Amino acid sequence: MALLQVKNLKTHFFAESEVRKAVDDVSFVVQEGETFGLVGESGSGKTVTALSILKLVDEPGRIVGGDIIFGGRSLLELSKENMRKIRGNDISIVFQEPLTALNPVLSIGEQVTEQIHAHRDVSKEEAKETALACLKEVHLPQPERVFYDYPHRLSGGMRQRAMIAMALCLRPRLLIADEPTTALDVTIQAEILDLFREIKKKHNMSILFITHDFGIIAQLADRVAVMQKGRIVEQGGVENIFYYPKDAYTKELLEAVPKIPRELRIQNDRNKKS
Amino acid sequence: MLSYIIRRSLLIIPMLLGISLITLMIMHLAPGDPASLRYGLNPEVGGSARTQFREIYGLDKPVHVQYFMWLKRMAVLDFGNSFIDDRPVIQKIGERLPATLLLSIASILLIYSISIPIGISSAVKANSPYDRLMTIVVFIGYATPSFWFALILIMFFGVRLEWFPISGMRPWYVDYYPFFASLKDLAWRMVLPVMATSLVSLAGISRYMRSGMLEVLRQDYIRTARAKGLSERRVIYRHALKNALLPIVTIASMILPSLIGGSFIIETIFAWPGMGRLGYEAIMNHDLPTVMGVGIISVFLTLLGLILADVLYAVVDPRIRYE
Repeated sequence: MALLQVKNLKTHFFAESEVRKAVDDVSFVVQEGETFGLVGESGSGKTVTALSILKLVDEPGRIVGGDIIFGGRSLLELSKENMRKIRGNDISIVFQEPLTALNPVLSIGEQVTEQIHAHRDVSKEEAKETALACLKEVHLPQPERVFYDYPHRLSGGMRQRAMIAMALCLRPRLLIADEPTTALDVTIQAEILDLFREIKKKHNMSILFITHDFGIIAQLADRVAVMQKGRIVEQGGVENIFYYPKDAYTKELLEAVPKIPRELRIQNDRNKKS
Repeated sequence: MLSYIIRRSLLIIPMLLGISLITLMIMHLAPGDPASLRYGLNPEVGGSARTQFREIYGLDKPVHVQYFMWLKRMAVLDFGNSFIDDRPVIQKIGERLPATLLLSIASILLIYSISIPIGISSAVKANSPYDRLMTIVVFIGYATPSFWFALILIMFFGVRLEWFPISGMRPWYVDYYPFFASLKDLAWRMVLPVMATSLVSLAGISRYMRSGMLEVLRQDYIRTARAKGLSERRVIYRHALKNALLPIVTIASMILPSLIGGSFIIETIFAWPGMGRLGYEAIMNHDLPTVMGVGIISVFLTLLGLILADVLYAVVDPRIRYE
């Protein structure tokens, strides 16, 4: 069943006299429980697509056409308050930069619990308990300590885990991950990807995974769309796109992936299937 | 943190030494002489009396000797007596400082309670007609000389409308009032001077607040806060404001010296018995002990205020921990 349908979405930026078509007629569907990959180079419109789904595109950008259907409802027709109720609750997002995405002057605990309070009518203690459980779920060491800590005291990987904890806390139906590993170094990247795989298995939630790295898509996604200059040039099952790319740009992107030695790739495929 | 505060406090000492030395030297360079200002052209007072006066106060000694004499007295916190009326300097300051602080604290409360909301609302509605209007209003305020504004206030509210008294802080008859009535009288008398003092800073701080807020609203964590489904109120007043207030704390410490030293102009226009006027009168009369006393007390309180601002900064910003 389709959880999210993006239909002919057009998000344009109106700068001076010029119109930049960041997202131009993009359509795709994310099924219930599926991980959908959105791949493309920097500036291809992946992040703007994600922000459009949450209706968080900043001025001078505007959604000028198309529709976004989530759980049978058009998000574009929702009032501000109803949209607020969906954000962080039904759809949540993990951003690329864990360094800047957390508020530096608020404790991690406050940043997790405030989201719980925004959507659930719970007491302070209950919120704290839920928050601690979320921090534990993403394998943050010493969640009690992290709860009272401030972002600058955590490493990049820990901050990203905290971000993911927030995003997962209210069990959203759709999790958008906007290049969640790009700003991290390689070993941390692998750990965070493991975490996503675990989440996927455990909660069976839909994930819209945005990245420029085909390697990550191969590990995580069920289906994939390739984006270039605000348009989707090709989409389909991961294996199909991987082995039988039709579009020239997709081929180029695939060739840009560093070649992995055969034996590692086999192992990788095995991991994926298990 | 504690060791930081102690180290900062110790730094006050060399600063006080330097500032007092400069003050004394400048007073020494100024034309005129305390003895002749005291006795003037009084023909009854002969040259010997003047010489004696200089000897008593050590004014005949070279300036560095005078400085060390002054330091020796300061070591036991003896500020000396005023040349004009022979009253202890510390007592004179004690009378004036509360008047200035009263005015300053009231002004700073007024400045902040008006300029922060203006700054926030202007930033949230950036480039809207409201923002543009506020920009114009605020810059008119900034460009207005405070003495002129004070006179306009007196003309309009004091003379035409007769709403507020225009001068003085505590007239003699207040002593016969019951406590609350005298308090009310004081509050009434503060209205115009506080308004006049606040106008200029109002503009500066609301602009700082606006630009600080605009800067913060562009940050990634604001987008995160919105993506979490927080109400716009919480996004602005908890996430953005707490960050935008940080630089404002520093600015508060910048306006501190003038707040403690008092404004000579405003205090004179409203006949307000504060530090500004005391210092001015002392300078004009070559009242050396009072000049030095006013200088030292103002500097001391200012430095204390700066340390307080630093501590406050660490309280609001968890990233700052003074080691």
